[in-house]
Amino acid sequence: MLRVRDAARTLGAIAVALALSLTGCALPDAIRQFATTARDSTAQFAPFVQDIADSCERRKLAEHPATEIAISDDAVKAACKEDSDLTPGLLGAMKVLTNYFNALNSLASDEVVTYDKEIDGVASKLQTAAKFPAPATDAVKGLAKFLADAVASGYQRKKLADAVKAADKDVATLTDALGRIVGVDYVRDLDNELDTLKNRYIDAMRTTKGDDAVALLLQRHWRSDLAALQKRRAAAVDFQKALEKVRDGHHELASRAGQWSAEDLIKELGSYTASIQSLVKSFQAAAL
Amino acid sequence: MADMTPNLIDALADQALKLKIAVGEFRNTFFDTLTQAQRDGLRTLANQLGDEVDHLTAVAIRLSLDDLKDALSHLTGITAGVNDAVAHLGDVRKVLTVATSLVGLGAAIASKDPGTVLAALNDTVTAVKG
Repeated sequence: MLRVRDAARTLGAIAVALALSLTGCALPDAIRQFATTARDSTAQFAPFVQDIADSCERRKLAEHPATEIAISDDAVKAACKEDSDLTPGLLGAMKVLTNYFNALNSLASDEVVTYDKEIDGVASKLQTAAKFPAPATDAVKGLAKFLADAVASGYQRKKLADAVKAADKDVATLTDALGRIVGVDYVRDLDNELDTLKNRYIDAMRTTKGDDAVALLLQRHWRSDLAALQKRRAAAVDFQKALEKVRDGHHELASRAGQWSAEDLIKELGSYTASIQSLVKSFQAAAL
Repeated sequence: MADMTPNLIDALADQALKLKIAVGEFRNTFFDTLTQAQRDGLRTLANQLGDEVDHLTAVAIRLSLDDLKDALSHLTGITAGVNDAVAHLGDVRKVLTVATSLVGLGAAIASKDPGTVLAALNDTVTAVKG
């Protein structure tokens, strides 16, 4: 019995010592949160892409004089086919980026490196079947958990580091190009639409010939259309900014792949994550 | 002739939009002095320029997408590698189960109790067989 107690004491001491050093093995929350936020922000791309063709259709409808009630939907869709044809390619490109962050998120997840239940199972068997005393079982459990975390966390860190370093250039290329498509090209389409719409309202206002009631209604509609377009525009600009933050945050991760526990990196990454989250909220609020 | 790059096409699209806006402003400023035919003509011209802006923008986007092909293919490969690593952590789980049972076996041997050693040995065999 004395020997069992000695063994338990020795193992207990080892487990405590190892548990103390375990904190350095865990992947910082900041990295997991960044991967999740980056994935979620890239997933917000679809409404912008869809609105490229929709903006063209709204513009084509607004080109017609106010006295024309409707033109054929087919004619409008045909005029904007070049835009709608872009949708699959754009969504496919962003899907590649989203899939990457999704995979990164899975690998950075706590779940892939948590084996507590299995280890508890083995330890409890040791206690019941082999009548191993509780202190010794706890010591075995502690030691096994350390081994589990050390092996899995080491593997996780290495694979994450390899991936972010290898992908950094591609992430920059994709975030720059897709951000530009939304923040520059789509915004230009909106400005084009706005100009056409404004001229339509100006023409319509000329026909009111001093009828204040009609003029007031036109003013109200114009304000509402203008506000909707300005919201879309601001959302697009924020989306581009969010992708820039994703690019810069990823670059920080890649350039300091060996020092992920460094306090300043965690702080910096946390600020990227917070900025992206706030920008995502802003363009979600625009509800395209 | 300069290469057709997304930036170059974007610059052309910006110029076309500026021209469209200028045509609209001219029509609005001189509306009362223009004939109906001139007003209609200017509106048609603005609409055509609007279509041109849209077309050039679509071309710029298409060129950007073409430029992304290599990056997309490379990143897809990296993503597959990361997903393999996630799956591989399942294999690591098996290794850890064996490691855990070995720790148990070591502790059992230290206890020098034959029953405990035998039970831990059984666990190790089961873990190795997986």
